[in-house]
Amino acid sequence: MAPIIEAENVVKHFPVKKSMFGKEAWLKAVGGVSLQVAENRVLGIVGESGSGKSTLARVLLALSRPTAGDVKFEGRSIFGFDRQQMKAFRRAVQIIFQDPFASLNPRITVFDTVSEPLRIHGLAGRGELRPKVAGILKSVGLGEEVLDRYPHEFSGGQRQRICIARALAVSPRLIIADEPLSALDVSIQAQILNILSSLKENSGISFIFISHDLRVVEYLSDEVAVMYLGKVVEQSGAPSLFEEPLHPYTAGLFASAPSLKPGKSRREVPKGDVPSPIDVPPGCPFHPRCPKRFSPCDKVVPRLGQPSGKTGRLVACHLWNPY
Amino acid sequence: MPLLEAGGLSISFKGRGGPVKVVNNLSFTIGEGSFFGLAGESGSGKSLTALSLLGILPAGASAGGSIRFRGRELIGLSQEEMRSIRGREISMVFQEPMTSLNPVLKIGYQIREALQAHLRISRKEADSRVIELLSSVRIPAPEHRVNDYPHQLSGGMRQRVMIAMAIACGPSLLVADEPTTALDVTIQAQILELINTLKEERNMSVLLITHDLGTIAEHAEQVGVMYAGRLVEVSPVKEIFEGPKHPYTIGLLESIPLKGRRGTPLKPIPGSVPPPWDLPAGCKFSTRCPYVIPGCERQEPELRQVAPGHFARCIRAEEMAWRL
Repeated sequence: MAPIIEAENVVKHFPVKKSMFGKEAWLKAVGGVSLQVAENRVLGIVGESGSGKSTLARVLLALSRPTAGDVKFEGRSIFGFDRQQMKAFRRAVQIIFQDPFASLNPRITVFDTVSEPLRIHGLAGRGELRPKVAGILKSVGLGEEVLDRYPHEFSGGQRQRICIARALAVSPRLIIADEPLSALDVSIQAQILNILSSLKENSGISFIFISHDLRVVEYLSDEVAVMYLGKVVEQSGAPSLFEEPLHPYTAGLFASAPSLKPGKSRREVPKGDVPSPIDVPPGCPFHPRCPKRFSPCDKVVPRLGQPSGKTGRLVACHLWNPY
Repeated sequence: MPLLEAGGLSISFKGRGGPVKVVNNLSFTIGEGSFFGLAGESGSGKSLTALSLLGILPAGASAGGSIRFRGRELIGLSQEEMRSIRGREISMVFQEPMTSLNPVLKIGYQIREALQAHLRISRKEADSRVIELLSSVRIPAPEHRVNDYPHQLSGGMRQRVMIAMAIACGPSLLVADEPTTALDVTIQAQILELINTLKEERNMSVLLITHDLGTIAEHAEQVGVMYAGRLVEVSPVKEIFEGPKHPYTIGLLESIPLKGRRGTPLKPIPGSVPPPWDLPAGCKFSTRCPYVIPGCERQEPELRQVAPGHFARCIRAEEMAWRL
């Protein structure tokens, strides 16, 4: 199946000045990432802060131009789009942000918030707007009575529903959700998760779901990419990734997330801090923290490839792919 | 005698229509050298409870009832008296290490300040204690790090500095309010591991306040679950995770997308927490509870013992047969 969106070796570097007289340094936010999302699939991107997951999302949305590489939407480069094509792209790809308090305009009503994209794209006539908006709100579990209210009147969970409704309004093909649950309480997270998973089942929309929470990613994703310091270190179908993580970083991430079993479990948690993306370690970026490093790890950058006998899985680790 | 004993602890804010009670009649005990996990969502009153133990409630809030620490009543103590306990006997680690550290002072200076506030020691002795403390929270090369400013450290390292400061005077109770929420997953695990190790090494008690039941399952010995300013369930950790007795606890556990729940809809708690001035009569969870019966709305249930050491505030607690 042809992918809807495709990142081809995307690189994004930001210039940073180290000191007044020092030479310019580069923050290597994304260091060559290739990904694809097919129709009606959910790609989960997991990573810690500094892994480049949000920068990658901005590049995929054409909010930021990559330093190198390309993003293709339905087979065509999004950075070569003219005005008309860009407008169509903006309609087809929507985003849901982390903080529902910061991503709604406090001065306009829910009706105006959700109907604005419909008006911009000319998708509904004046008379149809209200029933259409009410219908969209209903699909995220909000009643008609919210139409004329303002964002401050709602709880975090309700606001996130409004943000989802706004994204759905233009019938997008792809929604990028960047940590959409992190600002919410556990019981509210489950409500939003149910909405997202029923959208996935019933709407045919593809999702890129960015999160640091492995349990949530496992619940929702078909495919998962694990990022570390700007690189994809492992990519695979969700069930097999969670069944058997191949990359030591993936295994370490899993070990760090507590289960609900009472009592201590012996686990190997990665030591030390995530290095700064300004000083990415040579060789494998994970080698300073890796319990399994051996001779080539600090010299040779591992390539992302399929280990023999592991169909459908990609891993960037010398343990699995001979260098 | 337990180390800390809260009895009928209530916290109210001044409101336009009279005081608003945000924590209501809280009773719990923390034993010597034990690990108590207090769980709840935002607005449950868990953080205010923590602040009240240190006598640092925000302006406009006041505490009633009793907090006994080693048998001594803390409520009603003067600022002066409280200051001799705070930091020395009971100390606290906050959620955001960046906003809790002074950005213009070296970390060594800030830890030394905590030491010299309570102990009569020379500058030289304090300096060497600071290095000891930094190495006890596993900061590498502490003799160099003392001269760092907070911005030179990573989030995890800053939280280690906060912990070093908190344990500087050898407190017997460490209150940690969401100490890992602002940190990355792998760093969270490291910090909790550190708190646990320090608790063992120093025979210190820990009160961990968190919204993350997983963290509680892994580290706590005793668990309290708060809802709308009340404790709704208190129990040893094993019992509460193996057989929760309050529908709210069950709802929280059902909201977590665990392994094996993939593809099946979660069963979230419907609605959201009502504000403290608009709580239902009777059981405060009754408006959201799937197990509600007419009796629930008449009278607020007591927190009562439903199994040895296991307390729940629900009239149907014995019927709860939910299993993880």
